[in-house]
Amino acid sequence: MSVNDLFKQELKVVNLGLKSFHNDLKSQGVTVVQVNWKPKAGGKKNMLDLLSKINKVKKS
Amino acid sequence: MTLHTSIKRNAYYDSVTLMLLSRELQKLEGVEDVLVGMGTDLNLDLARDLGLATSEFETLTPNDLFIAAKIDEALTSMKAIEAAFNEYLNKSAELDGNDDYQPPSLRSAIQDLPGANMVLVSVPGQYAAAEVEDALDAGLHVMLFSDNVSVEDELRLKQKAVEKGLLMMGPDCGTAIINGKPLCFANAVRRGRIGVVGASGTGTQEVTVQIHKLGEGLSQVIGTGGRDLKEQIGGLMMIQGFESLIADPETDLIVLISKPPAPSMAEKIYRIAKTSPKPVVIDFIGGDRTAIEAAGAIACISLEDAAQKAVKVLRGQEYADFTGFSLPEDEIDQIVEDAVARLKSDQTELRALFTGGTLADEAMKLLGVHHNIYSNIPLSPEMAIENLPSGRGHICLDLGEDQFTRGRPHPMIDPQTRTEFFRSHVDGQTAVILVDVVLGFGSYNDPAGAVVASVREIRQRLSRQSKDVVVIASVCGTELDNQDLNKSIATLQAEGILVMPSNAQAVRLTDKVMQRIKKGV
Amino acid sequence: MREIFAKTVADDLVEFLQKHPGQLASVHSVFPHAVNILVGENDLVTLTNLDDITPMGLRVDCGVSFAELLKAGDKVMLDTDRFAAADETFSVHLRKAQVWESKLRMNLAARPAEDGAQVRRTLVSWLGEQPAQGLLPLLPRLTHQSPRNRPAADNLYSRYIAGDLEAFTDAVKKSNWEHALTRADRLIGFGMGSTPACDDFLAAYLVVFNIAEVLNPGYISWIREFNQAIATKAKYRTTLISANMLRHAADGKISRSHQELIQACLFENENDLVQLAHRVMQHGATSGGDFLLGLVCALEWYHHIMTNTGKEGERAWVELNQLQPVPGI
Repeated sequence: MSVNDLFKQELKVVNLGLKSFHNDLKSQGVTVVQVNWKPKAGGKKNMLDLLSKINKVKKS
Repeated sequence: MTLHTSIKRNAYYDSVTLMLLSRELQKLEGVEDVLVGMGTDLNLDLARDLGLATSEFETLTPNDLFIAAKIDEALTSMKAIEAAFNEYLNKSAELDGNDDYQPPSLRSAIQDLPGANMVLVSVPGQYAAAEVEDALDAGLHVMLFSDNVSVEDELRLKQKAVEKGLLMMGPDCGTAIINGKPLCFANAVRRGRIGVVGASGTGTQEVTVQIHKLGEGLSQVIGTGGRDLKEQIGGLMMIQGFESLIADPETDLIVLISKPPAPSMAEKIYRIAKTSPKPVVIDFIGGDRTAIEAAGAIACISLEDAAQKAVKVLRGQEYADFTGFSLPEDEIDQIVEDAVARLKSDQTELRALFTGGTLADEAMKLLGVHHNIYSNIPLSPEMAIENLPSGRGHICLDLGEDQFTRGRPHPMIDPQTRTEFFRSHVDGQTAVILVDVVLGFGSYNDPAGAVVASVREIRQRLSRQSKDVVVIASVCGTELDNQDLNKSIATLQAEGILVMPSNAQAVRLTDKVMQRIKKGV
Repeated sequence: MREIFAKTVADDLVEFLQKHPGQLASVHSVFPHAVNILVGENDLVTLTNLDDITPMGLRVDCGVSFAELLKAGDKVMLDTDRFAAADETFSVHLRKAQVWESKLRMNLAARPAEDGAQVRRTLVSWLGEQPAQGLLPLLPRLTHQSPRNRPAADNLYSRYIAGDLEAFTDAVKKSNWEHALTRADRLIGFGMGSTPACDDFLAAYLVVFNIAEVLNPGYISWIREFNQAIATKAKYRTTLISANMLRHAADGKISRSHQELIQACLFENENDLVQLAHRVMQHGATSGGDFLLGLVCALEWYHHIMTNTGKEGERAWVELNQLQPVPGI
């Protein structure tokens, strides 16, 4: 569904994150669903950051 | 004063609801003190220590909820408090959707909502990209409010969006109005024939608000996120938005707003503008005028000017750069004289404190040319705020920048940051204070009131030195916004603040005052 | 008749159902994402439709809010392979569910003291950036950061309990467990919410104590008695939901999201610490934050006793008591 198609439809929103955005949309009569969001399990990015910090400390 | 206890047996509510509810009940007329909690021994001890215990406490078990209150029976009753309690719960259930189901994931939400066409993402940056990917895969358009998304992710996601003909507004996109519905930080404006594609949040807000003021309306307002027109991203969303507005039967004129893009990027935009059957107004804030006009588009000198030209062209009228004021020149001169007359000779400095980034930008572009202004968005590196010589000099700050929003809400949502800067940065050598007051969805519920409270504090402080200060403001909002434009203006004016009809005019007035001060007696 | 399928079931619940097949139980409390079912006088079985599971609990894949299916007082029949509403409006099938181990697996290598301290600092720093609700305004004070922040003016509960929480954590650090137990009397059942804030705080301690004792048998002999004493006090001093939570915590059992975080803190593994902390934070309204505060305090105790020998101990003590900048305030 292209952008121009979107312009012809009724806006129906899924909100992930700040509740206030959901509340504002709701108060304007927009159909909106709030997701009870939690981060997905898995993913190593922060661990890598942490490990490199620990490695630096170990070497010094 | 009498004590009453209300009991709800085997009732369970979450702590935040109870905390907020406690505060609301405390505000009721006739309530001297009130405590809400589960009937555990220790919570009852607290209630006793607060002097709220009654004989009913004996009947409470830890699984019961109590409301213990000290009330003036001439003004209220326990029945009224219980009614307020229930009303509050129902209201927050409505708004917080306690009765509304909150699906645990994007996928289940899409299943639950047939016809879902837009996903609004404001989760922490490191997790946002994955959610946006899922949304695009599911064929939905995206507005990505989160920042701290990598350039690589932004490029990959925008390419996917373009491939599928979808919008991916962001990252760091705070403003959009789709099908007449404001998303995130946006103002309530009337629907009409002008379409906007903006890479700058408050810049977009100011333009839409000015268009509304002039009596026209907006068809679609598409955000692109702040990085869209950088080389690595290639203006993918600006182009996508631009082309969709050209194809949109409800749009008769298009406005593009952004900081000046790299020349290769600008070229891409001009190419499309050249072949556009609809007039195009381009506000590349401070950008290359000749190039814009060579492309057959209309150049602008400010956000307000962009709005004015858009409206004039739409109406088939003549247009020219708007460099002046709405009020007659001699009235402006009188305002300047009166303002400067209130100042002492050692008051020479500017303190501009902005919550909207693009509005701060506009201020810097004009004022920075005529005066040396230290800033966290300086026009040149030597004018960076860190170089401020022992606190003396003109200052203009964008308080929404990262360095001021670590671990605290954006100043448009919570005025506390600006309140603190008023206290720390304004002193006896300040001549003029310049602020923006941004209304609309997402903004604090009374930004004008917060500014007035701060100004009052400052005036009190300065009056001890027999000094006053000049305060200039503009209000970015409409009469349809919750915070009400007219009420906000009245609140500011009642405190002696000079309110200009646009950011550009407020900045120009500030410049006049500063030039006048420089000239001296 | 609505058919729901359990995806995961806790091992202690499996055992319980095998021992007591065909139990008639009643719904105790209903939330959009969780239902507590009362079995007997004091035991709660918890169903959740989120990606988490509690001891004596089930995770179901159910697309609707529980509030649409049940209300407090409804009767439910609990059997080894299914739960069924007495009025036959819905049933939950257990047969294909995976079993979740409610007790932490301790077959991983324990983190060395230095790493552990770094992990704790990461958590403290991250917690400092979260909204200061529940007991979190007390974070700077309880983690010895400077300046001593006054808690948010409208958070009456945390203001009131600050001294008692500090007295408790101090007593624990000095291994003065009898004194700590007396101090805990001032905490159990105190605070807002269905699980009062201090109970969530204590739960973190109980789980860390339990793990410490298992990893170092005989070394910290007072823990078993201490944990049991807390669980017993909780039975009469706090809400049923909280008493169940503390009873499980005393045995080292806690919901999976919390378990994974504690595991990441104490053992070598590949998980994203901040992501796990984030999941716990979103638990309940302020329960997650209150638990996390208890966790960082308990971790301080844990590292203190683990490094408490000679020169190493001295260095660790200095490290732990260094003034830390408070982020974002």
